[in-house]
Amino acid sequence: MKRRLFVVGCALAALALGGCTPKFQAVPPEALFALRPSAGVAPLTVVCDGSLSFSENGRVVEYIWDLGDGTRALGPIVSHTYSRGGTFRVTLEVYDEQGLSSRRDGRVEVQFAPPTASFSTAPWRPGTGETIWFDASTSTSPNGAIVEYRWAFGNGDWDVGEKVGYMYWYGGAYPVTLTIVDEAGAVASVTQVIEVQGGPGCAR
Amino acid sequence: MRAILAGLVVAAVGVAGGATTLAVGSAAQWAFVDVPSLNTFIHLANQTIGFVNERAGSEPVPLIPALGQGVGLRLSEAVGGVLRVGLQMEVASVGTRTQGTWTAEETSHPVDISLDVGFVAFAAELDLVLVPDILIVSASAGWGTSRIGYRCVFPPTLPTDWSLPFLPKAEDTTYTSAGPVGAVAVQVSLPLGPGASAGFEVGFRLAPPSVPRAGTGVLDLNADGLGDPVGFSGPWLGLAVRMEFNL
Repeated sequence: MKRRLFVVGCALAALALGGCTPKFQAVPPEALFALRPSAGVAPLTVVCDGSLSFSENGRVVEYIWDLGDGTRALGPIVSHTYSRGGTFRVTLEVYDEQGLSSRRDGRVEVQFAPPTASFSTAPWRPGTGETIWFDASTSTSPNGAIVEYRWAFGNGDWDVGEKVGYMYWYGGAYPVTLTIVDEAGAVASVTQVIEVQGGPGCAR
Repeated sequence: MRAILAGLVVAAVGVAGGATTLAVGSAAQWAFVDVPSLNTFIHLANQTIGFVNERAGSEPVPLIPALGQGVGLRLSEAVGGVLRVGLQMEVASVGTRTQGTWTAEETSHPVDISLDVGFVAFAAELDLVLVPDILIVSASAGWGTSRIGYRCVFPPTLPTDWSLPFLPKAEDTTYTSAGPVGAVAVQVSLPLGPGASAGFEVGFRLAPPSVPRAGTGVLDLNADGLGDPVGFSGPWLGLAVRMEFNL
């Protein structure tokens, strides 16, 4: 009888221990977050909400953000402004009360803000055969330096450079187009109509 | 080796006191399973669904019930006296599903996620008849295969201005895995008539977790780049019917 009780006891103990086994498995937390917006034009302010993260072992106690542009932040919800364009990998790492952690990546696509192309000319009312100076130094870019200035003079001729001189041999209205490219590859252009006084080949 | 086996058989028959019985049993089970990796995915999906429900401004999509309980069936056949040896087959199944649609700006975003987990095991069984017709303790060891059917329709773009790096992966795939399985069970029954008895059965199945595969892919529902191990361990409670025939 004792032996039978022993066998039954062992079987019940095995059941009880077996039933408890999953409880001892360490399940890491899950990092889950939402971004708003996840794409846009710089400067772009993005809200990162990591409060969706959870842990089967209790509470998530630590939220560590790597915002992909060298910025780190702490807390379940953070806000960050991307001042320049690019693709940024946002990583959230969470820790639960047991010190277990996990991470998840998201992506923010920030388009480069377009540069602004502008130029001035001198003299104010040019004539044929007179050198006209085109100056694009008033052009600006939020993405860094402007690496290319390209001029189209409206008659098939063209030139490159921040400041260029050009002479028309025929009077008339010429649409002069400046196209600039900044170091991020963003492009902008502007067109002004230049009125050239006088007849063909006549300098004032 | 043969001598040892023959000795064991002789010993078993000796323990049985020379009375040999063929016992055929079946048990319908209420099975409890613990599949933390699948339930973690369900939790992730529910967080996503709940987040969108709050912001989509349309009829909410129901959350996915966690996997925990299912049904099973165990069939066994054993020969012997007090100590019986035999074979058994066991099948069990659990499943969960949600369906719904978000509607935003006259665009429908259907959601349909289901997980069906099935388990089949074949095992050798050893029964110890503690009280004839009333109390039997059995242990079994064998090989089991599990099948995880994952069917998911989920919109790639959410009807909200928020974006989430985790979305349930839209696919229709059946993953499988196999491995050793062991179980212990206790049957308590009452005689119904000559050679027939019925009662309750409680047991625990131990099926170590392994990562199910589908072709060259592995189950990775939470998209962390690691496979999701799935076991089928857990207790069960069953209604058992047993027929015994004297040989």
